[in-house]
Order: sequence, then structure tokens, then C-alpha cells
Amino acid sequence: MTTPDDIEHMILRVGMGDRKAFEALYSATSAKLFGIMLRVLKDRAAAEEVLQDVYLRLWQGGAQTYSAGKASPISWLATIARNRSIDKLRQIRPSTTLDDAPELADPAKGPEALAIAASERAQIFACLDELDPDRSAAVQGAYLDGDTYADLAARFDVPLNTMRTWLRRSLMRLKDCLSR
Amino acid sequence: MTDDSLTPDEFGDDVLAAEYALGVLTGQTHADAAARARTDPAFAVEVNAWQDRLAALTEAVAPVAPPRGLFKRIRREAFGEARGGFLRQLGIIPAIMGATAAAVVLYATVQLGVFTQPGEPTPTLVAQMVAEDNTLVVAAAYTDDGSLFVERRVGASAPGRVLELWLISGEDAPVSLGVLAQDQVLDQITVPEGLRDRLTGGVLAISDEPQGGSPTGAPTGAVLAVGEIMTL
Repeated sequence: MTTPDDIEHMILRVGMGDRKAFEALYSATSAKLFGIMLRVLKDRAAAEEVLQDVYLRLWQGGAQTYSAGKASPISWLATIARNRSIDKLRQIRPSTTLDDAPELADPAKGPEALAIAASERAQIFACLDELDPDRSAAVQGAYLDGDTYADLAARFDVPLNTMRTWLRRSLMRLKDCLSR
Repeated sequence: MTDDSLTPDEFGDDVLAAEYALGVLTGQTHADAAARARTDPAFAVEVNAWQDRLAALTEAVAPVAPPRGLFKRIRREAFGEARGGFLRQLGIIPAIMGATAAAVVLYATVQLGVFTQPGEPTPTLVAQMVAEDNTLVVAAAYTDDGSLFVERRVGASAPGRVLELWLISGEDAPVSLGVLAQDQVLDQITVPEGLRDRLTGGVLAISDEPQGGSPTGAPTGAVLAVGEIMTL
């Protein structure tokens, strides 16, 4: 099992131009990142393009921007994967869409994921469960479907200001819950 | 976008960082938050903390193996070279890095040294295999009559073991060129006709093997030294 410490070590080695570490990092993390990209983009060709771009950037200096011990290396990579996918999504689909997001996959059904503290995994979902279902869906929709306030207001059919107030309160409740 | 007209803040920077990390802001509000994330360290820390919190949402996303050929493309672009996976699997690519410089040195020694006696053919291809820690250095020179001269310059096989020479051409599996003699530093190997064309642009490698050479036809022990074949 690849541990977060292993991943961190690989990222640091990649930052120093270690090709073997680059290969190891790819084999340890590409399935997770590709899953995120497919989930956000729902388009294989676009996801492949983003995956290629993300690993190239990591090799070409991106890995040097990682600060050891500051954050979970897996969260760091997942954030990059998600953010670059959202960028791509907005490039492909600049306008608001009203497509319903597919249900999130059950993590228990997925292949063996990277090691992450089970409590951490449970916690964010447990905290989302404490919110109204709509608000929980809005947070997850924004994160994984790239919805902006305008998209969310359209989807939930509420004024923009209402949406923003909703979401801000939800985010604060989420933070309180996560820090308990 | 009309974000600018949104409710005045009843919330602090923390929630702005959350909105920015979540990516729901647009227009000027987004641009302002992005500028702050670059210039205000305290705000950047808040953004990072939110990115980490939200990244846990990706735990619900099932991993999907990317297509098999994709890493090859990434690697080609990243490393700017086409040489295939086999060498890197062995972890010996770094040893190749100095080969070009080594070949220049070798060219001079080949011309002056034991390889070129009067009346003998001049080498057309050379390689210098160097261990990462320089404990083994083996030079090779190929002449167009099919002879590969291999000179052990530094180091030797471990007790009870032998050194075996391999040709790696492109993506192909290594092909044995034979076991180096233990009692002398110079070997003359006749390269089989079918392999001669594969020397150009290939790589020579030396592995540590049991007496008599690899029993499997592929390297079984550590790859000790490797060198790119250079055309003179």
C-alpha cells in the first residue's frame, strides 16, 4: 500500500528531476486523479488531456511548489486535479448548464484507493449529512461539477443572493463540524 | 456577472477563502479573491486549508486507470526523448546521462589504444558503460566486420559471479551478447548477423549473473552499468 509519506517523498523527488520517482508517482496516483478528472469533465478525451497536462506541469517545476508536511500530499494532488478539470470544464462549457449531477460513486465500491485516514473520509461526508440535502448537494455540485453561484442559483431556482447566503452559511457549518 | 452587488459581508475572510477554493465566485469578486490569494499570505493559508478540507470530497470518486499508452506520451514530452520503458523499469536511465561526454573521451582512446592496430578495421560504433558509483567501467567498440571489442577498464565481477553483456534496442527486451571473460580485461565478441543493425542507437548494459550467464535469457541480476551506443 502506498502511504501518504511515500507520495510526499515521490513529489519531492520529482521536484528534483528524478525520473524514476515521476514514474512511481504516476503509477501510484494517476488512477485517483484520472477518476476525479472523469468525474468533473464526464469526457474521456478531455480528462486524458488534463491528466497529461497535470503530470507534465508536475514534472516541469510544479512539484517544487509542494511544501513538505504542510498538507496531505494526496489532497494537494487531488486539488490540482480538480482545479485543472474545472478550468477545462469552463473552457469547454462556458455557459450555465442545468444537467443534474450523477450520484457520487460509493467509495466502498471503488478499487482500492490511496491510503487516507478513514476518519477524515467519514468526517466530511458526515458533516455534509448535517446540512440540508439541498445545501449539501450545492457544496458537492460546486466542487465536483464546477457550478458557480449563478449555476447553483439556476439549478436550485433561487435568487443569486439567497444562494450565496445559503452556501456561505453551509460552508461555515461545515468548517465548524470538521473542526469538532 | 453581478456578484459585486451581493450582500455586504456578514462573514469574514474565512468564508471568502472557502468560496474561492470552491470556485463559485465569478467576475470581479473572483478576480479580487485570486489577487489576494497571491499577495496576502494569511488569506492564502485560509485558501489552502479550505482546499484540503474540500479535497476529501474526492474520496467518494472511484479511481479509474488511465489508458495504457498515456504515460508513454507524457514521458516522451516530459523527458524529450523516445527511449522506451524497459530501461526506466530497470532504473538505469540516470547512468546514461553522461554517455555522450564519455563517448568523446572513448573515441580518442579507441583510436590510440588496443583496438586499433595497424591494418585492423576502425571502430564505427562505441559505447562506454559506467556504473553509477563508477565501480565498473567497460568500454566497447564495434567494427563493421561484426566484431565487438569489450574492454573492462575498472572493476570486475563479484566472486562466483559473471558479467553479462546485453544489447537493448528501442523497446525490445535485452538480448545477450555473451558473458565477459573473467581472466582477461579484453573480449572480442562476434555480434550475430541479425543483431548488427540493432546496435545503432541502442544501449549496452552489463548485468551481474550466475556462472555461465543468465539462465533465463533475460537479465536476472542487478544491472551494473549501462552506456548508449554512439556512432563515430
